Parts: sequence; C-alpha cells; structure tokens
Amino acid sequence: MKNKIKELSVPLLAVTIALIIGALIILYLGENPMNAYYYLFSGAVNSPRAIARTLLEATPMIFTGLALLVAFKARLFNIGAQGQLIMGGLAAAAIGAFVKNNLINNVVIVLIVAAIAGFIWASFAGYLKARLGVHEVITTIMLNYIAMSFEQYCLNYPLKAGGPMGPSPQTPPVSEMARLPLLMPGTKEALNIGFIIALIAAVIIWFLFKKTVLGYEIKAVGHNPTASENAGINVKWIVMLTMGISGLLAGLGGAERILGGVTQYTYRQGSMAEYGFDGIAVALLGKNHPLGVVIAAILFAALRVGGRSMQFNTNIPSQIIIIIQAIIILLIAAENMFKAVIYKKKEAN
Amino acid sequence: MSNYILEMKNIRKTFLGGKVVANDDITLKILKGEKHAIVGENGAGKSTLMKILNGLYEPTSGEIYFHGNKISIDNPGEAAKIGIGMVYQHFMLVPTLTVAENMILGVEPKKGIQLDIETARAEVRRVSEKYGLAINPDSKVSELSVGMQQRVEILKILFKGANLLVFDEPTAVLTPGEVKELYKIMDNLIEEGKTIIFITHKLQEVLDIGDNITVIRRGKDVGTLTVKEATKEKIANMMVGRAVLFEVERPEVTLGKELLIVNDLMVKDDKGLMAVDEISFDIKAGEVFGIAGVEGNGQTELIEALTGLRKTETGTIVIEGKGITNLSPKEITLEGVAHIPEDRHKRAAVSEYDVEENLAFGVHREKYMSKNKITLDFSKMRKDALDFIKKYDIRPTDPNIIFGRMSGGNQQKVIVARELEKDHKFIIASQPTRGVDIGAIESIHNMILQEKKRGNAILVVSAELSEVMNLSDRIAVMFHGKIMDIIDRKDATEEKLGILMAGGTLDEK
Amino acid sequence: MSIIISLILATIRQAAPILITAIGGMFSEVTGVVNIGLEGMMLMGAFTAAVGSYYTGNPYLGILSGMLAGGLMALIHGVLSIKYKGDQTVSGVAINLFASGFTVFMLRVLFNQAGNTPAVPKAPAIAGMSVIVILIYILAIASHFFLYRTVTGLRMRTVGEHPLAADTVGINVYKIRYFGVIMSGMLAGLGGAYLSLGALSQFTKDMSAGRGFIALAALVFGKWTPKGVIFASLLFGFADALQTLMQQYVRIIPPQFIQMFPYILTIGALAGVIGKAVAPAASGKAYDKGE
Repeated sequence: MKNKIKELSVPLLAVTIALIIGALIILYLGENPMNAYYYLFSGAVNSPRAIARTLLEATPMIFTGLALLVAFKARLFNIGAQGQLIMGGLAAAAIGAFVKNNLINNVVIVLIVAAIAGFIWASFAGYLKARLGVHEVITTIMLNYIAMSFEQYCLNYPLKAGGPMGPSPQTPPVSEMARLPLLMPGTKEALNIGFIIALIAAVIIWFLFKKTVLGYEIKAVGHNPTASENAGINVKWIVMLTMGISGLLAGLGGAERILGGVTQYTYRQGSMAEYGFDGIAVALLGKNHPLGVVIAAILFAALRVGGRSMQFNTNIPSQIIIIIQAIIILLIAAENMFKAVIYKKKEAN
Repeated sequence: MSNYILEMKNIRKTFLGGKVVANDDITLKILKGEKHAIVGENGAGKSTLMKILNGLYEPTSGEIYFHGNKISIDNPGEAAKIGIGMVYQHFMLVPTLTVAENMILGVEPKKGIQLDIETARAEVRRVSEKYGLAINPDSKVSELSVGMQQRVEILKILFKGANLLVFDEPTAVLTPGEVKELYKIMDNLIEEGKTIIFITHKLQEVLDIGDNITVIRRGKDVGTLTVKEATKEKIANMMVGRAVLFEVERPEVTLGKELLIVNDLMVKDDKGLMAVDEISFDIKAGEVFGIAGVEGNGQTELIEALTGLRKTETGTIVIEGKGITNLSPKEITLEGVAHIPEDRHKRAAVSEYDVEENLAFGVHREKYMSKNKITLDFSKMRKDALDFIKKYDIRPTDPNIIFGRMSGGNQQKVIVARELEKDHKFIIASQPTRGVDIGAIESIHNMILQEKKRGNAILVVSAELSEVMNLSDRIAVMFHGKIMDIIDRKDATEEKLGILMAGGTLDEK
Repeated sequence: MSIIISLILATIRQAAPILITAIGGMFSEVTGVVNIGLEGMMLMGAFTAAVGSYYTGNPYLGILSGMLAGGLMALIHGVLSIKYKGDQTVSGVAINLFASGFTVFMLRVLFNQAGNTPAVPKAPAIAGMSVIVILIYILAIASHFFLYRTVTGLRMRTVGEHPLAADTVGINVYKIRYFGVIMSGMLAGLGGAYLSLGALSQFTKDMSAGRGFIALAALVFGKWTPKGVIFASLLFGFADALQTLMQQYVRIIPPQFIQMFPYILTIGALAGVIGKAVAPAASGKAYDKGE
C-alpha cells in the first residue's frame, strides 16, 4: 500500500506544481488565478453538456494513451500515435463515406479496418526496430510526417467531397450504418459509444498485462530483451506485435473521431488535432497504468474544455493549457528528482 | 615513527541515508614495502573500501593516515597526488583511444589550445622504459591483449607517481602464464620501493604472493593475519563465519554412452572472425565435461551455438541421436538442453520480476499456460515456486521478492533451480559460481554433481581453473577457438592446463 | 545549368539548419547524453531569434537570443538527465512538447496571432547566402578540429565511452556532459535562428517541421563524426531542395507525395545504415558513481 501511495504522489505533485506555475503565468498576465481556475474547472463539469464534451474530448486520448502504454511496456517509444490515428481515421472515412455495400460499410467492419490500418502503420516501425535496430522514435516521427502529408493528399484528392474541385478539403459524411451510436444525444454533444469502447479497451489492456502469457512476455522483453531471447521468447515478433497493438489502439481512436460525429461524421483538416502527442503526456501522467491513463485523459480533457470556458470568461488564451501540459511532462521526466528529494527528507529524519 | 605507510582507522561508509552499510568500522594497516591481501566475499565491502582510498567515495566516518599524517582524499586526482594508484578489475581504459591518449587523460599536455600528443607519446616511452614494461604508445587499446591492457593500467598510475598500488582482482582475466608475468612485475615494483595492496578471492594466490592478509566479512574487518599463520581453510572460515568445504564429494557413477556429440563445429563471432574453429568433442551420460580457458577464446560463441543463439558455419551438434544444429532456442530447450548462462543479470533472468516469475521464465508456455491458452496458471506457478525455494534452499523464502534485490548466491540458486527442474538430458553451466559467495558455491557445485546420478551430460565452462578441476571428469582447454587438448581428471594439473591455456602443447618436453 | 547551380545552392542552404543541429546533437551524444529534444530546441531558437530581432531591431541580437534560448532548453534537459538521472528520451520528448506549446502560446500573448509573427529584421546575406549559413559551415568544420585536437574534445570522447574511467582520472563527468548538452542546445538554436532569420524573416508555427529529428538521423547516418554528419546533412538538404524543386516543375506527382520525400529518405538511410553504426558506448545511460 505504501508503494501505491508513493507511486501516486509523483503525478499528483506534477499536476499541482504545473497548476501553480500556470497560476503564476496568469498572474503575470494580469488576471486573477482563482477566478481563471474557477472557470477552468467548472467549465468542464458544470452541466451535462460540459461533462459530455469533456468525456468526448477524453476519448481519443484514452486510445492514444493506451497505445503509448502498451508500447512502453516493451520499452518502445511510440511517438507515431498521431500518424496511426490519421491512418485509422482515413481508413474509416474511406470506407464509411465511399463504400456503398453495407456488408462492408458498417460500424463493426469499418472499426476493424481502421484498427488494422493503425496496426500496420505502427508495426512497420516495429519491424525496422526488430530486424534492423532502427530507433523507433525517429521512424515513428518520420511516419507521422508522411501520414500528415498523406492526409493532406487524401483530403484534397481521392477522398475529397465533390472531388478535387470540391469546395473544401474534407470527406463526405460517413453513411448511417457506419456511425457510432450517441450516448447523450440530449446534450447536442457527440459523446458516443466510442467512449465505452475506449474504457473496454483499458480493461482489456489491464487484463493483458496482469494475467496473460503475452503480457508476461512483452514485459520481459521490455525489461531484458537478451534474457528473453535466451528464454526462447521471439523478441523480434514481440516488438513488432507490441507496436502493432499500440497502433491498433491509436487507429481505433482515429476511427472514433470520424464515426462518432464530433466533426459531423466527416474527416476534415484538424480532425485528429494533437491527440497522438497528448497520448504521450497521458501515458506518462497515468504512470503507464490503464486506470491512470483513463483518469489522466479525462483530466487533460477537462483542462482543455474548461480552458475554452476560461478563455471566454477571462483574457487568458486557452493555449496556456498546452503550457501546463508540457510542464507536467517535464516534471514527470524529473521523477527521479522527486525521489531524490524524498530520500533527503528520510536522511534528515 | 610508524612503519605503516597507510592506516585506515574505523572506516564507516553508508549509502541511501544509512539504509545500506557497506563498511562498518574497518581498520586496515599497511606496512611499507609489503604485499597486503584483502579478501572477502562479493559485496563484503572490499571494493567500497578501496574506492574510499582512491578518492571516489568519502567515508561517512573514520580517519585515514598516510605516512603518519592524517589526510582526506576528496577525489581520484588527490589520491594520485599523494601517490595512491589503483589498477581496477574492469580496466579504466577507453578502447577507442590509443595507449598514449589513455595514459595522459586528466593531465593532458597542451600546446596552446591543442592537445600535445607528441609529449604524451614521449612520456609513455619514458615510463615504460623506467619500469621495464614495454608498450607501443600508438596502439589502440582495443587491439591489445588483456595482459597488455593491464600493463597500460599499471603504467598509467606509475606515470602519475604512484607509490602505493592497489590491484583489484588482478588475475581474474589472465592466463596462468600472464599471471606469472604479473607476479614478476609486482616483485619488481616492490624492489623499486613501492607498496602493494591486492584484492582477490583466490585464496591460493594470497598464500603464494601475499605477506599479510586482512579479511572482510559483511562490511566488518574480521582480522588480519600473516601468510605464515594462514591456511586456505582458516581464511575461508573467517570470510564466511563457518567451516567451508573446498572439494565437494563426487558421486560414484559409471558413465554411459555418448549423449552429446559435437563435430567440426565452426562459429563466427560478431565481428565475422572464426571464434569456434573446428571443434569436436563428446560428453557421455553422467559425465562432467569441463572447458577451461581464459574468457574470450570462443567459449561464449560455443555455448551460443549449443543453445541456438548463434548460427553455425559448419559442423553438427547431436543430442542422443537427434541433430539440434541451428535450431531455435525454444526448439533446443524442448530437446532437453538446460543452460545456466554466464551473466545471469543479462542473460538468465529479469531483475524486475520476482522469484516466482523468474522460476517460470523460459518454461512459462510449457509448464504454466492455462487451458484457455491465453492466461498464466498463477496458482501452479506459486506452488512450484514454493517447492523449489525449499528444495534449493533459496533465501529469502518469499516467492514475491524481486530478483534484483537478492544476493548473488541466491539469484544463482534460482537460475539453477529453474534449469535443473526442466526436462533435460544436457545441462550447460557457464561460470556457474561467478559472483557467488563462498557459502553458496558449495551447494551449487553439489547440485551440478548430482546431475551425474541422473545420467545427464554436463558441460561446465569456467575461467576458474580450480572449479573446472574440482568438478570435471575430463577437461578440455580452449585457446583461440580450438581445443588444445582433452585431459582426464586424474592426469590434470594446473601446470599442464596453464600451458594449454596459453596456447602451448604438452608434447614439448 | 542554372537549375543545377540553384539546386546546389539550395542544397547548401537547406542542409544548414540540419547540419548545425546535428553537430550539436553530436556534441551531446559524444559525451553520452542522448538529445531527442533537438527539435524543440530548434523551434525555441527560431521563435526566440524572431522575437529578439523584432524587439531589438537587430538580427544579430536575434541570433544570439535564439542560441541562448536553445541553450536554456538544453540546460533543463541536462539537469533532468545528468543531475537527476531521468530517462533521457522522456526528457527530450517533454522538451519538444513544451517548445511546441510554448511558442504557440507566446505567439498569442506577444503578437495576438495564431500562425506566425509579423515580419522581423532578417539577417544579411553575402552573395545571396545568409551569413548564418556561412557561420554554420565554419562551425561545422571547426567542430572536427575541436573534437579531435583539443583536450576538451578528448575528454568529451572519453566521458561518452567510459565515464568511470574519466572519473577515476579526475575528469568531472557531469561538467563535461553539461557542456556537451548546452552546446547542443545552442547550436540547435542557431539552426532555428536560420529558419526564422535566414530562410524567412519571421517565425511560423511549427516551422522546424521535423528537422530536429532529421538531424538525429543525420547524426546516426554520419556515424557521430563531424565529417560524416556534414555529408549526411548535405544529403538530407539535397532531398529537401529537390523536393521544393520538384513541386515547382513536376506536375504529375501530387505535391504532398513530394513533400514526403525527405522523411522517406530518412527512414531509408537509417534502415540501410544501422547495424554498422556504433554509438558512443555510454550513450543514453546516466552516470552514477554508486554503480
């Protein structure tokens, strides 16, 4: 139990310190931090609509956070969640908006295809790492940029509503059969079953690493690939598979953005925002535990949704949320600093 | 006016805010001109004590007197200034730099803003001539033999004016021939007026060249004795706190047929050179076959080939009639090959996993997969773990202790337990008691010898000559990838093996 | 013929920010500190250089402030990685995310803009080549001399290969590593300054566009030596220049695919090279005397 408390203390400390620094910045900008933070937090939860909006915003970050978590277990850094998100979303839009045959163009199949798209995009980087030793940080980032260019291409040519001459770079809306049912239609927010799927994914991932043979092997490879190879574990396969699972989750996250309705069931510029990178922060803050990821995703979502309310009611630009987010990550990176401080306190006693 | 060149009095060193006590009230007194041995088990605190002497650590309390004057040694630079130099077990040499560059590190001569490499090279020649230790200043350290690298280490500290030389496990990586060379060098240094401290776990070595011995056990100093009054048994007793058997009882077993046959095996190393050069040998059922030789002569690659971790170029490996050459590690394990690897942290276990998880590691699919093929059968894992902990005397007895926190000896027992409990006919034990406390060495040797009774074939590869001679029925010596000769137990002497280990032959008489 | 000349000049120009950032990365990694945050340091450098030039009216002061900003970011990375022995990759990623958010935030706070600063005084050019580019190539060549002929260079290489050995001869491992890391930040900042004050005359959002990572690839491809890095950077610069050229002249291939070219090349280069490339032995591991 003592260990669990110690584990929680670091993320809590990081968030608190980041909020304090945020408050200082707000002060510097001439506003009252308490006032600003009031709008920030209440804006996320003060009505069913706000809650729906918050959970909706959290959904893709749960997916990408889980994606990062899975990769971290094998000591892999999947910075490519953003690209996998895009590929999943493009796959979902490509089928959802263009395929007439409802045997293919229905929610289940489309989700599966999107998941496969993410899986492939990520396991390619896994392959390069496993067989050629290329650092996945660089390859996944390159794949991000390639995906972004590909996204631009698709939105302007093959997937563009109205063809290349169409009015704006976006796809047509996906067919009814491919849409994810809404959860709280009364709020006029697109909170949909995708959120539930994300939660289920979190449970599955928890189960994977707690109880299964595969999870045991993935963690072993993450801790000690040499010993794992000695023990007969196929390390190369595990690396590729783990990256694949990671990409699969991100791909699902991208599909939800399109099939869930947050952008009117179309894929348009900015649909995928920065959720892939948010996933990194979420995974780190959530201490690489599925429950932590869910909570961290909801926290970040609350900050963002509330941030808009804060910007509306004060003069603080919502971008300050990005700063707070970044500070949190820096502090998590400084985790050992906290540990050092805790040890010094013990010595003084 | 004391005869002591160095006195370390009541040294205490703790880490992590007092949680770890590495040195607990140790007093060490060194006479001028002597060769003083410091012995103790792994983790006893010898290295920590010497790191304090060398300025890498500061003592938590205690005093150091040098030539009768109280001093404090704040960093290695200061240690060097007063004339203390240390030759480390793992050499402090940068392999990609030359001898000259390594020698002058920290005291680099300058020509304006440039590094003055000419002066560096001249200095190397000067020192090497003065002490009669020939070396080429422009050789890249990575290209030197181990014995020559050690020579560079010695020159490094002589260059800085060392009068008190500390050697940490100096003969661990040397052939018997190189060891004799080193002993001669040490004698020369004493004649030049130097004093030597050497840390070793080889008790025979202590008796051979030491003058006085200080024994350290669990951070405390247990006493000092002269070599005249010492015997191996006495020293070991002080090291462990109880009587220690040096030769384990060997079970009487009639050997069966050939169980493992290796034929004309050739294996390349990572650099593409032939590490295993046409090796052939066989091991009978119930036989312990030992391979002696300094590390780096192809033993590692041989074992990797036997366990499926490295591809062979040509040659065959056959177990009980079934060929296993170039099969995957998993397939080879299923054919009945068990393996205690030489570097348990790197190759055998996951330090972050607990005992239970490590006992299952490698057989988790065969033994502990649930019927649903997805989950692990944790209750079976637990039951087996508790059984093995009892059977193999693993301490502490909690199956959820993290592997990385256990002592070296208990870690090795976990690995041995896991491997011996596999279904196997052939077991490879590589450096089986490296880093293992003297008390546990006995039990591990026993466990290995019990394999004879089961009719298994046993391969022991060890750089510790005494271990190989203790355990083996026949001993092969590897040198530069070849087997120089295979000697029967009853004919084996350290001298003969030493000659073979250095690449010589036994026919030259 | 003029196309070839303009291609060569474009290569030299496009390679410059990658080159100096990669040289910076080399200084850091040679001492054993992995710096994934080069992208963020470059971005901060670009932004701060533009801001500095805007407020002082002097592009040289802009360049200087860009380098200082990069150095400051690197100092943070250094403290986290060296003093507190944090995971160097996480720290680098954090710096990148921070730079991305911070620059966008400050764009709004200082200029009330979302995408870019207004035009700022640009650095002068000699014969069509920005002085920053000239400075970059001089520094790149000087780095070879520095690394192999000076005492500090020798110590840096030692610390990266065998920090314990360095410690035992009295070399301050931490100081050398801080030096290497801060150097990397300042040079990445200089690369960023080129983007905002040399190539353009303003800062635009996310203008580093992955060059910090391409610089890392150039470092690996160039096997952590100055000569190798110069060659690799020119290669990537060529890809970048070619891509711009092709977008102008080649209509058959959609521009978005041409844009992918440098990134695909990076992957290809790394895939073709690793296996033979050997990083400094102590790269990425925090130094702890207690080990």
